[in-house]
Amino acid sequence: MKKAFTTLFFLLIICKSFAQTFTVDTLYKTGVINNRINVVILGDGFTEEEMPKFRAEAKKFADFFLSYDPYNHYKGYFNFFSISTPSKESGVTNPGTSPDAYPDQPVGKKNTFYSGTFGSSIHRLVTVNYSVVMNVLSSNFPSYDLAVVLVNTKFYGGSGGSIAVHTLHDQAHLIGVHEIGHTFSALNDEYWAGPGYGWEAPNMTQNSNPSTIKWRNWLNSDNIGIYQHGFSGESETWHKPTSGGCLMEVLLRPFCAVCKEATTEKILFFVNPVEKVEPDAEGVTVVGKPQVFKLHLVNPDPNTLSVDWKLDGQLISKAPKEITLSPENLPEFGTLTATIFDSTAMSRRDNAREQRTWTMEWKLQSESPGVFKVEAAADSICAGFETVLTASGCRGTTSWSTGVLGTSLTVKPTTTTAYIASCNVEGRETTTSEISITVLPLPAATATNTGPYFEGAVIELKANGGVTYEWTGPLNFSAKTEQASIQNAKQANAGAYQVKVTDRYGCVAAAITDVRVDPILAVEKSENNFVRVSPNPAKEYIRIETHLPGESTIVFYNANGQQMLKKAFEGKTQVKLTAGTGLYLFRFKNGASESSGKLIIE
Amino acid sequence: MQCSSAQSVLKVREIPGYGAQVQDHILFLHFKIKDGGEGKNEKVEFLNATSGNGRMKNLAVPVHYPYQIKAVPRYTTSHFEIGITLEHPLFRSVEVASQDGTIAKAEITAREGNLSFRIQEESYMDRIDIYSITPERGEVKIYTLNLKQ
Repeated sequence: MKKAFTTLFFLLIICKSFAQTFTVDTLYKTGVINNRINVVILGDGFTEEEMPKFRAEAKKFADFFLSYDPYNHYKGYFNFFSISTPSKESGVTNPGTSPDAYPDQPVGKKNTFYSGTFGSSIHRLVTVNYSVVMNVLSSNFPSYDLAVVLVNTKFYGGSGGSIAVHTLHDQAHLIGVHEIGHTFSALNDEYWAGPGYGWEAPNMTQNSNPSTIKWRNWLNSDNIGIYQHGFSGESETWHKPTSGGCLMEVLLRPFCAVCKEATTEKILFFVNPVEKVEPDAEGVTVVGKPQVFKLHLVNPDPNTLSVDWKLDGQLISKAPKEITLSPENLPEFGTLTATIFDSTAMSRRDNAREQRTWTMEWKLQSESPGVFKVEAAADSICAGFETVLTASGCRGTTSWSTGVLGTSLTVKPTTTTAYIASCNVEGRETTTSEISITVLPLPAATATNTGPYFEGAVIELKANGGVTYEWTGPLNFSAKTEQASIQNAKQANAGAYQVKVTDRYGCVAAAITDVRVDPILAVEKSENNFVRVSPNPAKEYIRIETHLPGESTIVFYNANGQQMLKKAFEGKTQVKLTAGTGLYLFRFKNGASESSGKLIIE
Repeated sequence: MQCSSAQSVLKVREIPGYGAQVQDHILFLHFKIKDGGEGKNEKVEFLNATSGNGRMKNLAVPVHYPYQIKAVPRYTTSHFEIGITLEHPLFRSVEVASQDGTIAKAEITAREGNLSFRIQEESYMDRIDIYSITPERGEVKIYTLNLKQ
């Protein structure tokens, strides 16, 4: 090496001009450059007069990209900029020499900034002068993370590499998103590109063992499986998570779950969701009065960030943004930590919690540490619930009557219980503090109905035991009253109705009542009848006769399904129905034999 | 850029755009690479360099095509030397997309091409070795760009 070095021909570069600077427009700026993924969009074949069109197209691509899953969940993690580099001529060079050249596209050379051109042998392979792109980026946005060049033509085309290039054709945006899948997420193609193109990537592997394959946590969900790239040669040794179901294989498909996972993890690798903390976490924070500790977070959409606040290792809050600590609630010296975890379901990586956890830490000093005392997040709780007890003012070790050590304790008593915390300071007498947690009984919730009902009847529901009620039931039934009714009952209304009963303390209990709705039966054929009801129509008196031995029962209902008369008899009997004229239904039962019919009272 | 070319040593502080007061610099380096003839190494000509401010996040398109260029920063310290893998400008593999959503690879060769890449400048980086990787010749060093502060 040294020998080679000495034989080199030394010349120093002497540049007489600096690279040109252009207008850098901000399309979306969500945060500082070093904590965002910065996408820079360039345009080729746009003249000075067409700069508004270029900026509109750049924004159009930014919007397309930010609406694409999974980027759409992390819009706030990206900045988008455009650099206006006017071309002398509008459009793009078309050599027109390729066999697949578009017949309706004018052939000709254009003098454009990046010398964009359709391919001479593969027409839709649209390329630009990469060195010119790099020069513009170096002098205008050297710390770009991703770069895209939009070529001013409506004809389809594009190309990949570290700079994505594509035209303004409606489907060409997908080329850019696919290429960024390579550049940003290190994804491999899921189409088989030929021998030599197989390598280990988040979405490609030679391992086909379901228990160890890198996307094992997605198998049998979201259409993820283990698919060979091909069935012969090298292709059969490589595997992918979908077959024709991913943007990395077919441009018209979305990212598969495995590629979304890799992309999400990359986003979270580069961007720290903790933008800023207050107060500054450097040094020691002296707490002399109630002090707000605040996190400025970059929230995903939906917000999947969860926060655990701990004081000296003990959980004290799960507040998403800030907490307030008073000096009297702190030990003389302590450590406050806020642990932020992105619980996104987009990734199922085994070590997700380690990879996606950010911890902020404040060293605290209380100016007036208070006397030793215990407080509860809630000193009255409903049966079955828990609360957190927090001890403060102890300069030593805090222990609880339950045997647990630490400044906070989560309890779930079944009855009203007293808890004692002890403060143990070496060389001093142990001090104690007691707190009683009252356990409120749950309301005695009941739910009833007046059924069973025939179709067309009015279902009447009734609850008891609380001050507010919340009914739910079949056919999306809901009501917030103690009593509820359903007109014109149908069989579909039958089923379980649940009511949540809340008492004056806010405790909640649930009760269920089953509603039965029977169809209005047709009059059965005489050969199926076990009973004879006559006359029919009748006036008041009705004779009932059966040939079946033993006790029989007959029940008469009005048209609303309400029971009007019930009679048990053997052989035959006579009843008087005085409910007025109209149509009545009866149901006869003798052992396992049942029969029903209609009766008219004139 | 109207820079003179043909050089082996680059004075970093004289690179256009290099801000002496700025802590972090990104170097953009441009080379011309020509086919050296059958069985011979490529001919490399250093064209120019520019510098910008800031830090890179080390995002790079993965290159696994058998023809590659590798640029390895060399340090005066025991700093870990991680090479950058780049597309070989004379042997490129490109993706060709179609409107029906299908994608295919196409291989493009050239007799001459430009190699441009960026690299994070470190004060203890004293040179960049450039290697050509081909199935025919394996990994061969084809250029060294020496850096002087």
